[in-house]
Amino acid sequence: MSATSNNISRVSNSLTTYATLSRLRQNSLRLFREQERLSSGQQLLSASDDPIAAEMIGRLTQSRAAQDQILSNLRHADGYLSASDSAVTDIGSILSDAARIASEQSSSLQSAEERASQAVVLDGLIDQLRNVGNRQFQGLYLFGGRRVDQAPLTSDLGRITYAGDAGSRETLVGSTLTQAYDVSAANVFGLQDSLNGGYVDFDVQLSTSSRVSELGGATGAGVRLGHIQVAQTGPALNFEVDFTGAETVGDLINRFNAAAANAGSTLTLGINPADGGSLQISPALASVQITEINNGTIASDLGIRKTATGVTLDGDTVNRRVSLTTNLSDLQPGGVTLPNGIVITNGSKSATVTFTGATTVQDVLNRLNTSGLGIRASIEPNGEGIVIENQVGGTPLIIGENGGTDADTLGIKTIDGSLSLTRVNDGRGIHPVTTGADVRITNANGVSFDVSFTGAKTIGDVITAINAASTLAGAGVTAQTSQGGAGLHLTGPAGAGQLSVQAQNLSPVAQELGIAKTGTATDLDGDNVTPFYQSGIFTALYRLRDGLLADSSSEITEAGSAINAIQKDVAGTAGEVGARSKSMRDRLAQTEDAVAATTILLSEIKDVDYTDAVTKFQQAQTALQASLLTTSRIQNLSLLDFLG
Amino acid sequence: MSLTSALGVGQSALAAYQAALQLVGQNISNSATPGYTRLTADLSSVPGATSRVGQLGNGVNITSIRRNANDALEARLRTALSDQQSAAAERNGLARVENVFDPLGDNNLGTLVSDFFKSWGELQNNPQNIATRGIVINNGRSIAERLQSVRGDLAGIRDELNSQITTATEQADEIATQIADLNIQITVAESGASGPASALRDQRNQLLSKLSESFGITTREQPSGAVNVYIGNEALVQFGESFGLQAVNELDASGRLVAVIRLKEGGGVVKPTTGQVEGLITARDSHIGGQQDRLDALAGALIYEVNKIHSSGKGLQGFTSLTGATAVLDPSLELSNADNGVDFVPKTGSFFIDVKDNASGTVTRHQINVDLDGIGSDTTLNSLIADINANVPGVTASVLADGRLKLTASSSTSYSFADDTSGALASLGINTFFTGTDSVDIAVNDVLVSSPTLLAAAKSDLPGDGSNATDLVGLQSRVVANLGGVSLSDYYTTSISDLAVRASSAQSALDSGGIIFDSLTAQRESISGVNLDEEAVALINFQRGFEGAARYMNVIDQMLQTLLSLVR
Repeated sequence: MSATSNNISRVSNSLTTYATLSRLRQNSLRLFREQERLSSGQQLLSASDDPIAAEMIGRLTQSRAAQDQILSNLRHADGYLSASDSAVTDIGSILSDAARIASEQSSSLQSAEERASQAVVLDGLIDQLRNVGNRQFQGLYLFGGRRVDQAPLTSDLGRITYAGDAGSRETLVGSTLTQAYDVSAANVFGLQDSLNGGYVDFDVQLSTSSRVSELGGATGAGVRLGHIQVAQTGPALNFEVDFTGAETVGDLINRFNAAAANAGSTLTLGINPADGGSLQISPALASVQITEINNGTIASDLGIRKTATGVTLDGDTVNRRVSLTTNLSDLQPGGVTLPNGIVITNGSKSATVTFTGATTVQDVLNRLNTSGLGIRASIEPNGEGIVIENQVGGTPLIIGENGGTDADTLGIKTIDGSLSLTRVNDGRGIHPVTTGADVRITNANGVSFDVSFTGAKTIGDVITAINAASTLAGAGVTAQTSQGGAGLHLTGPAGAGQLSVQAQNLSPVAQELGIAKTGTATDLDGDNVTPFYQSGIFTALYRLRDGLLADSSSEITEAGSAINAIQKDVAGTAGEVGARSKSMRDRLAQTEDAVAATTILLSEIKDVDYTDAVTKFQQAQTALQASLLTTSRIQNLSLLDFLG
Repeated sequence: MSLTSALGVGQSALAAYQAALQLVGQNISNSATPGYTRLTADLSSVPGATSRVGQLGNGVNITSIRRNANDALEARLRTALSDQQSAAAERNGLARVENVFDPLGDNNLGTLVSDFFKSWGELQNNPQNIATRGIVINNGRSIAERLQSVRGDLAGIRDELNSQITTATEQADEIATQIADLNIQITVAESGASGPASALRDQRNQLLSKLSESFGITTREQPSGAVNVYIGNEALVQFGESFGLQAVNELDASGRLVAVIRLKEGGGVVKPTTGQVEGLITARDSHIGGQQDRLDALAGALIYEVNKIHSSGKGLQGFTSLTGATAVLDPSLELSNADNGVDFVPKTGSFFIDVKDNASGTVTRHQINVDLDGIGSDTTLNSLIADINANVPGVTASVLADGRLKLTASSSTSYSFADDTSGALASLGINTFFTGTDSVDIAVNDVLVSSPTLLAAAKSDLPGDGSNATDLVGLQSRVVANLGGVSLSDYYTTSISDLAVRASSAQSALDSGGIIFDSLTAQRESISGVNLDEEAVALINFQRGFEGAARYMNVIDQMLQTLLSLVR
């Protein structure tokens, strides 16, 4: 009743009553609201009191909930990293003990008995390392990757074997930022520093069911879906093709062909039969030109951004990557068949793995991974080939043929022409003489030829050098990688004598390549000089242990060197874990600050300002009192009281 | 002037002041009567015969009894009352909706949504933990129950509003009948009379005011004194006839039961433009209906988006048998066909079924393509089943009689799903977190409730893999196309903000309507209200006039006695 006094000229009793009641109601309501604010501690009693503030409260509450969650994630990650940090420190300490033993026992003055007793000590250290590797945090194995429910280090295969997962555990450390917070045993113990295999880059064939996401794209940037423009002459036509939403190569083809047919064109898109790995637009017309639309990239990604004049438009290869579902029939042009299987030897254990019935890459990987020999086969991260990890510490892994070429086909044969010679001779490489030949090879007919390996970098270079020299000498000797082993294999013509290899000019290369021997008339099997060892702590410790038991000073010295090198790696890992831990704690502190800031801001908007509320309450109370007072005075005044 | 005529002058004064005093008494008696219109006696001198010195006059009489009313002001007051009632009804409806959502409370829907995603955040850190899985499921159930509860509460408010509309309409119908009756009475009373039938008009005005509380009306007074009453363009009362109002329960375009106002005669739809009923209708259709729609949209998006991610993930164990939660009407129709009854329509894409050999632990992945691009043959449930049966050894797919997909593993295998880019699994209710389509039927999948190990926190078969849970955490702030390009959180916040703005606007409208109404009421009371002091003054005035007239009569009487004594 606030806007009544300006436009009236007389006051009736009912108007007085109406106005009085209205003011009483307003003042009571105001007093009630202030009382509610004071008793609830809330600035707003309902969202409609101040929609903007209410919206801010809603958003800030959500932000704080998200920040709380990130805080929780960071605390979890920090705890995990702190436990890992402690474990890595312990590993460093154990390694120091091992390095001290190696240093003490490398002297030739140590007795075999002393070394044997230190081997027992070393067994204890290996056991301690295993215990550290199997340490848990909140019931989860620290170093098992995402396989948190089982100990990552086992000794099922006689030596320490890694059974954890190669992946990492991640958590959200920002609204959209995830970060790994675990340290896998593979990293800490150096279990997968090197991989075996990957010697074949598969030329995977396209199929209509191939996912577009499997394509590396003609430019290596994947395939980014969009629109293309097709311009043809003979007859002249233009049409657009929309590839957005396509899932498979078949979808790409269907969309192109539907758009072409719709435009009255005879052009069709298909898989190029010539190479199976690219697309082709046919038939040949006077000209066909493919261009991008709206700065798209799909024509380039599909390798068809070009012009064909009088010929079919043959695209560039779109680099389909290997995936678990890739059919073996698509793995290479003409398909891949694996009829014979392979032989895998890991230390003293050996098994033949066959691929009968396997139709996909995953089938092959499953057969390898269930061989029970402590290996893990996987697809290379770049999707080009297959690689093998040796998960058993200190045992030589050899993957060879089982009478066929399956290992070679898969690119996982332990010895391969592209293998670096640095892998040979227990990682020491070969050391050709600077002057003259390194070896002399004599066939069964007594024909000899000298070979120099100066400049050779790979096993393939060695084989090429031998074969070239043999050809030049007419010796008929052929070098190749061994079928079932991890060395070289020489064949020669039959004769009265034997095929043999001798070192020349005091060169150690024949020994280093494992071919300093005499074979049969036609064959010479070299030693396994390129077995695949897991690099890392356990291999070095087992080597030291074996050296101590064998009473071999040189082995102890080399193992000591390896341990010293690993100590540096572990120190680096410890530093990295520490840095990650610090980074996590820094982020934790920042997030705590952000939570505090959000909480303060929220409080400023949401919580009542008691000074303000009390003052307003007092004002409302005074207004109500004044209203009651004036009402009682006014209502008591009447002319009728004065009439006689 | 003769003494006899002089007596007549006095007599007229006595009669006039007596009547005027009666009016004062009437005014005093009704000083507290709501809607009473103050009456005033218009006194005027009665002209007498002309003498040689001029006219002496024949006394006084009441020429009219004046109603101190302003019809235009009354009409404005009724409009203001209608507006105020409309705003009040709207505000009350919105206040109730606000209470249902309780946006500032500690346990509102927004908080539950945050808690739900927070629990997924905990699960990403501890995916192997069964207790954490239980918390996620319970938080999901809390959301589902709250959504259903809010939906139910909104429906309850709608029902109550419908009931209020019906009651208000029935009252208005009764009032209209009374107005029609009063029209007849006023016409009869005023025909041949010189003044208005004030009491009857006051009654009618009161009824018009009451009617305008429910419906915004316009009135048109006829020469006979009757008023015709209109709601919008529809005539409600014409002279002595009311066309009657009734609320009829009908289904609206969304299939919801609504009370529709119709004339009893003719059945025409009455659309009030203001008044309580208009406010109730606005609150029901625009505010509550809008909030129901937004709630359904939020629930639908939550269901589908969570399910899309969940259905591509893996639990701690695989399935041996699973029946989809969603049925298709015709398995031979394309999955994207609108006639197939699939609420969440999938698109062209693919997904993987990973079949695990329980003995060896090896997993074999199989790709299932979903083609819905409208080119050639698109994927139907039947073709999907055929594809699975042909290409996924160890899993048998079939369609149940009710149109749901069933997947059964052979005795030595189990299966799981991965990387569904088509959304088909979520559409068919396979490996989903939620079931249902909106806030009415949202629920956590019973499969998960009975086996929390099937909660898909991972993208791999490894128990420490929480990557799918990480994706689900990100969903809270990720843009959702079905919500117009805003995230689930933003959509909820925007909904609450929209509600708050509407409630605030309604409150402002009510406040400003109240001010206008108060102002007009003051004006009306200023004109029509009774002031007892004024009446007291009038009382004295008329009393003194009466006393003077009586004394005058006494003097004349004495003069007559004097004259008559001369005759004796």
